[in-house]
Amino acid sequence: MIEITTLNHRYPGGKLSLDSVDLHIEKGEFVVIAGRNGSGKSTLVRHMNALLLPSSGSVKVKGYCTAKNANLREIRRTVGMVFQNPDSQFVGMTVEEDIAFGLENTGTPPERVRQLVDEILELMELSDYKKYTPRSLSGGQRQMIAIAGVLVMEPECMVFDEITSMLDPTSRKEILATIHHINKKGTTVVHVTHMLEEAVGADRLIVMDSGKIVLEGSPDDVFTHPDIIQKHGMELPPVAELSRRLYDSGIIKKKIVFSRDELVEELCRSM
Amino acid sequence: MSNLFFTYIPGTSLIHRLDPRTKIISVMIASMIIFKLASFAEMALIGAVFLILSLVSSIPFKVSMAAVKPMIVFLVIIFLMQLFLTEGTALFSLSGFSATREGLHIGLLLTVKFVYLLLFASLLTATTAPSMLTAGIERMLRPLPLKKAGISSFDLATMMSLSIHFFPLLYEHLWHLKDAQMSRGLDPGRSPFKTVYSLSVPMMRTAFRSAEEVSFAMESRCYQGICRTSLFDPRMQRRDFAALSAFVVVMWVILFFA
Ligand SMILES: Nc1ncnc2c1ncn2[C@@H]1O[C@H](COP(=O)(O)OP(=O)(O)OP(=O)(O)O)[C@@H](O)[C@H]1O
Ligand SMILES: [Mg+2]
Repeated sequence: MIEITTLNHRYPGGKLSLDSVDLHIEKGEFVVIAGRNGSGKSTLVRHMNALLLPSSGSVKVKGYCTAKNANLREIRRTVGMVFQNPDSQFVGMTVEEDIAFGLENTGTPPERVRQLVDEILELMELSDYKKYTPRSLSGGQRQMIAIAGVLVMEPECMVFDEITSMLDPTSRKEILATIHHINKKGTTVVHVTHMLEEAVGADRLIVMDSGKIVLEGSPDDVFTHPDIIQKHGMELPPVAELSRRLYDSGIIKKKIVFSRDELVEELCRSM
Repeated sequence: MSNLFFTYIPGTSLIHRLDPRTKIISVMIASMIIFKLASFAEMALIGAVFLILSLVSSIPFKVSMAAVKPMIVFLVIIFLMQLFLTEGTALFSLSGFSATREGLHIGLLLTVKFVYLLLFASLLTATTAPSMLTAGIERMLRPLPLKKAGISSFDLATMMSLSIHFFPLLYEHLWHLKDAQMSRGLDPGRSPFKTVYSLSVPMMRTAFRSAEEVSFAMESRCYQGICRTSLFDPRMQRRDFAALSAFVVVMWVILFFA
């Protein structure tokens, strides 16, 4: 789906923000990219739909090279992106207009736009709000609208750049459930976060630091290297950290546990 | 700021349902006529037209007044300037300046003209959703050779709706910023210059950053400023042509016979 080979990126006048990154993302995969602030996560994913172009190396989406201007529209239709701050990604004055924005850009006929927008509003349970201005809704709802605006274009791959980082825990859970659901339906998902527990249930976890990929593998594998994770400025969630120590001292059988309830269960089992 | 200021009041009246272009053109005609008027009789008739239109569209009068209110100081200044600076028969005098009968006449006419402009404009924005308004303007600009200026009517329309949308955001941000700076000891009353400086620098930074973010978001949703379609597809219908002709006739009658 996306093939990145020895990608370097340098912002004008800066140091290397991406340092020979190699990454292949398969169709239907759920990939989580984690890393501390400034590690280059946003820079990397912005290459995936040609918002940024390689300083050197190459990025191919379904075989289309992002460096070629003629491929731009196809690439942007294939890879949709949702950003961290819901407020600065709204273009429309009402919820329905904002969701329609992408469809309007691709020249979809007005009746079809209407139909697709209404379907997605229904699906995301946002119909009641379609005439509201996005600003009048809660953070979680605003991020749902941003997701709907991309989902309505039916991209084959969706990239979420720290979309949960400004949300409260409840909305965060809802949004995570939504993107897992989107992935189940067959869409490839790239989810950027600085919270490692959001990698639970992903196919692959990638940890970045100073523009390089420093760890890569299934979340369970990556979590068995807490020392490396810590060295690169990330932290295992507290429950996971505790369960890892319990496992190391042979108290529980399961290597890594993320929820409190599950840990309690494991403990009861081993007593 | 009153949030009724040039706001949209959803509704289903005939005027609400008219094509945005019909309403924009009507307001343009009305403004031209208003500036040609010279007698109070004509003014009264235009006032009657406005009243009828606002009754038909069931826009409460306070909504229209909200458009006039912030301009009152400006209107008073215009009135006083005409009153005192026009030559003619003196009415009374105040510290060397004398108010004239002619000044009173011209001042009143001019003030009423400005009030009418504001009222008609508020009727337009109250009965037309902002998006319809931008769609209408986009359609009207489309035949113009804007390409030569390196910009498309789609760009212009998008710019309009973006600014309608971003001004409140930046405004809100400015208040947060002011609170933050004040809690760190800034005193706008005592050092206005420093206040402007300490607010404008971070404001500029925010404005640029959100502009960058929004352009990323727009680009990644395939925005290219060409060949867009629209969720709203205004179409001129028979009622639009009928309404427009009726409006032109009424205005013409007022101008020539009153
Ligand atoms: N527009 C820019 N111009 C110059 N340098 C930039 C720009 N954007 C990012 N950088 C630099 O590139 C590096 C990587 O930034 P990037 O935004 O990709 O990190 P990130 O992992 O997304 O961080 P965060 O968690 O804060 O979003 C940082 O050192 C940053 O300072
Ligand atoms: Mg980032």
